[in-house]
Amino acid sequence: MRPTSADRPRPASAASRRPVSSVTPRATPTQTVRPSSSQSIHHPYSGTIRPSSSQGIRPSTSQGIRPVSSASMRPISRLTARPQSRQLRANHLKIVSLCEQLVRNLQGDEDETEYHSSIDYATRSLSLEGTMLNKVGVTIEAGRSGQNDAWARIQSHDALADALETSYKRLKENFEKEHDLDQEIKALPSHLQLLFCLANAPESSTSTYASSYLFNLNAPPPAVEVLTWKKILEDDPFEGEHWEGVYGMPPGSIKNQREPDSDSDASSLWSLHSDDIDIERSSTLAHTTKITFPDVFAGFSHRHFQTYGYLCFIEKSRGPSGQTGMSTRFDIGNASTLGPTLQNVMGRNRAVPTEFVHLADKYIYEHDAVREVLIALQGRSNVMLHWQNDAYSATPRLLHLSLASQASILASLGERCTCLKHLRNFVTRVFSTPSGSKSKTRTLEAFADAVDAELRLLDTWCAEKEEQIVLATNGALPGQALVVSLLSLEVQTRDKFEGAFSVLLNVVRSVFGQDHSPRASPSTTTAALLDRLFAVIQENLERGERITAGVVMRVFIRSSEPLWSMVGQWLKDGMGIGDINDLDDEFFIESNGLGSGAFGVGLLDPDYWTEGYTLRYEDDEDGRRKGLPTFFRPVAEPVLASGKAVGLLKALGVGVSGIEWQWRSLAELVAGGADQDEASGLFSVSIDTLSSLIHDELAPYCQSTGLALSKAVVGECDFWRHLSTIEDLYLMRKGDAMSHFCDVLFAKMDSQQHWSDFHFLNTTFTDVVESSVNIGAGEWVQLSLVRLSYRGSKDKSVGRTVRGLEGLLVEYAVPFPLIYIFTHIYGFLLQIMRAKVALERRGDMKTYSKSTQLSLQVRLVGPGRTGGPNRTATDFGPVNEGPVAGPNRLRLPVRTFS
Amino acid sequence: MSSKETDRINAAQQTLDILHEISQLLNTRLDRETLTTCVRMIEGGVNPEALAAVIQELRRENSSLKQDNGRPASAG
Repeated sequence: MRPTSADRPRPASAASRRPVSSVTPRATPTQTVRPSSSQSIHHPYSGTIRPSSSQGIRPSTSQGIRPVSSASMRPISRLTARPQSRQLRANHLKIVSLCEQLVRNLQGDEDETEYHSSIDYATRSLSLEGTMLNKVGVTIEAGRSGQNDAWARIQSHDALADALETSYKRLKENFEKEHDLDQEIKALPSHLQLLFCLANAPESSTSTYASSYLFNLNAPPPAVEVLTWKKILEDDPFEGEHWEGVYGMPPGSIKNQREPDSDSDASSLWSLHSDDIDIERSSTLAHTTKITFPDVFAGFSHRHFQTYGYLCFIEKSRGPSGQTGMSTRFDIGNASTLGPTLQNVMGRNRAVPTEFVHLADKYIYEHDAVREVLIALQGRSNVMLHWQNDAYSATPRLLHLSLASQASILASLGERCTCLKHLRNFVTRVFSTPSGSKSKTRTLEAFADAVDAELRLLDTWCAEKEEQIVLATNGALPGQALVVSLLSLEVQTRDKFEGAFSVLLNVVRSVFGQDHSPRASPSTTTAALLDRLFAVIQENLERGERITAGVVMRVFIRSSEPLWSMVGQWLKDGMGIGDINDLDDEFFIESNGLGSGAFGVGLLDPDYWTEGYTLRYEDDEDGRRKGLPTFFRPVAEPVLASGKAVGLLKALGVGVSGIEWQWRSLAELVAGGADQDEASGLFSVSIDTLSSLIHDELAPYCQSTGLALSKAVVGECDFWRHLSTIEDLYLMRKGDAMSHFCDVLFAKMDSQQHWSDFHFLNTTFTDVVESSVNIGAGEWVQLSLVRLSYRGSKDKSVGRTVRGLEGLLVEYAVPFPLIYIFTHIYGFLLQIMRAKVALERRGDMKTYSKSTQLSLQVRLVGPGRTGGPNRTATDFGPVNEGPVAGPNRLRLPVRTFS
Repeated sequence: MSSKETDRINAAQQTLDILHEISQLLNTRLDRETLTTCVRMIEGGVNPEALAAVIQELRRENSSLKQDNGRPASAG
């Protein structure tokens, strides 16, 4: 870097010498001066010496020595010196005092503790957060005011809407007129915001106040006139009220008192002369601060009725909203004069002045009335019908109808609206019940849903009607004449729905009571509901009310679907193996708790298959079965048996895949089997028809299940082999083996030896069977399944007779489930054989055999013998009729022993 | 009292009257005295929504006290 001109002029440098650096010499006491480098040779400009530049040395400036900034030494502000708590304390005290007043006004100060705590609360809430200024009030309050006006107009509170609008305008005008920075009330939007926040729904007193407010505005109270000497001197002598009682003059002797006019209907502005109007404008009028609408007229004298302002108010308030005016003179060509004329007559009878007769009435156009009634039918709040004391009552009036005729027309519509309202309340109550509640069954839920669907159809129809009215009003239905009247609405609802909803309400009340809550068990309630619905369908069909019957039928079908699906589920899954409480409480099949769990009976116990699942019903006083719907009774037993069969197949490990499962809903079933099927879903179905339809639908499933069980029993369980063995054993078809066994047994008996020993009996039998196998005959019995035992009397005298064989038991362990099929008859047959042998020994057998022929026949008890060989009585040998031995009347078609 | 002061007070009174009328039409159940107190508080900088919340809470407490003690609630 080249040295600057500010440096000392550089002398000419020799090539070997490095000039001394022009940089400020460093103070490096520890370092020595660096010797010049032989390599650093700096050549100046062609040897010339550059003079010092005039810009190099900056002259001293006046600003060079800069004075100290005032900002760096700012004087201490008096605000910073003021303690902050003083301002806040003043504000706080102000708020506290105002809070005290507020709490005293709102709560009172009787309870000191409560009083102080409320003050603390208010102070805390308002002092910390309340000091934030609200800057958006101006726009908010304008919108809110308009909202309140519109809301009041929609609710037909015209006086309130007008009063709100007028008061708001006055406030704005007042605020704009008196706008001053020093004015007392500045934050007007905030005040309005407070009022809007505290606003409540209008009450009757609010409407009254609004009317009186408007009245006072239109007829402001005149200023109290102070009687001055000037006024007295202006009047003629003995004229004016101030002369009353003076000099003992009686009342009436002073002029300038107006006599009350006779009753007249022509109390209109047009009946007054212009002079009268000028005089009346300055007349006095009583004014009270807290004035209510009826009170306005109670305190008035007739003179007041002639006030110009009052008459303006009357003229304005006459006539329905939107109409040009209401005439009280009856005109036969004008239907709108009928109502007011009749009302006038009624008013005169009650000595009410004509002007006041119509003031309390609200009038409405008929097409608006029809729309309001349509809204009421849909269960929404409206102007025409009000819900009070569990019923609808009407308020506004129609001009062309008398009170009685209007009440008559609206009574039927009101009754229909009341019925719909009750139904809606029932549906809402059911839907709002928690799902886990025992009283809310699937059928009840389905019923409520079905009723709700019908109600929504009604709502849709009402909405369509309303749409037509609106379109017709706006001319969007060219060429179509739409008649909108209450009578036509009444006729249309009757034609469309008849009495369907009242019928449904009657069903609800008869089954669930007035409070719409089920009291009986779920199954009983379900059965009662379905039976009642079906009975109502029958009644209405018989009366020819097909629309009502159709509606109720739709409700019935939808309500029955849950129970129908339970039946399908039962037929498909069968009874649960070891499962307890796996069925709905409203299903007509119930589990008795005899499961195969640790505390239940086992699967091998016959009680489980017999009593584990039964029909859930109870007999009432009439002998009918409650808990079981009428149309399910013919199929209840087969359904139960079929379910048990499916359960047994599952226990055997045999699948039920062979059954074709094509389950249809009840609606499809009924629609497919009905005689008629109109567009509205109506069909004529009797209880028997429905029962037969259900039976025909379920029969294939029951039969398929039975067939599968038969196949399983015969095929899987080897039924015929065991049956053959049992016949061989119990019926002694294996004559040689059984004879051999009997010989051994009888020899033991004859030798007076102990023959009833368990070991002896079984060993003997085993030896006999094995010997017959060794001979060449096949194994006809599985020895492990046979067990002989004796449980009879030990008396020796009995043991010598045939009676001694009574205690002999032969048990054949038939595998499950064949064990339930066969009975023990072996002992009886053995007794017969013993008797035969004994008689033979005595040598009387020949004679006996000729005269008496044994004829025993055993009937096998089983589930059916389809699919196996045709076993008839002849298969067991020739059958001989004769006396039957033993107490049991069993006929055994065995070989006669002759 | 100067005429300007009188006019100012009259204007404030008029505004307060109109506010009271609006309050009656809106069925806020505020009497004149309470309304005046509220106006003063808002003019002092209190948030109107907070003030409305406080008033509603005080009313609620008063009605619950009335139910407990069976005594009539104070007007306001």
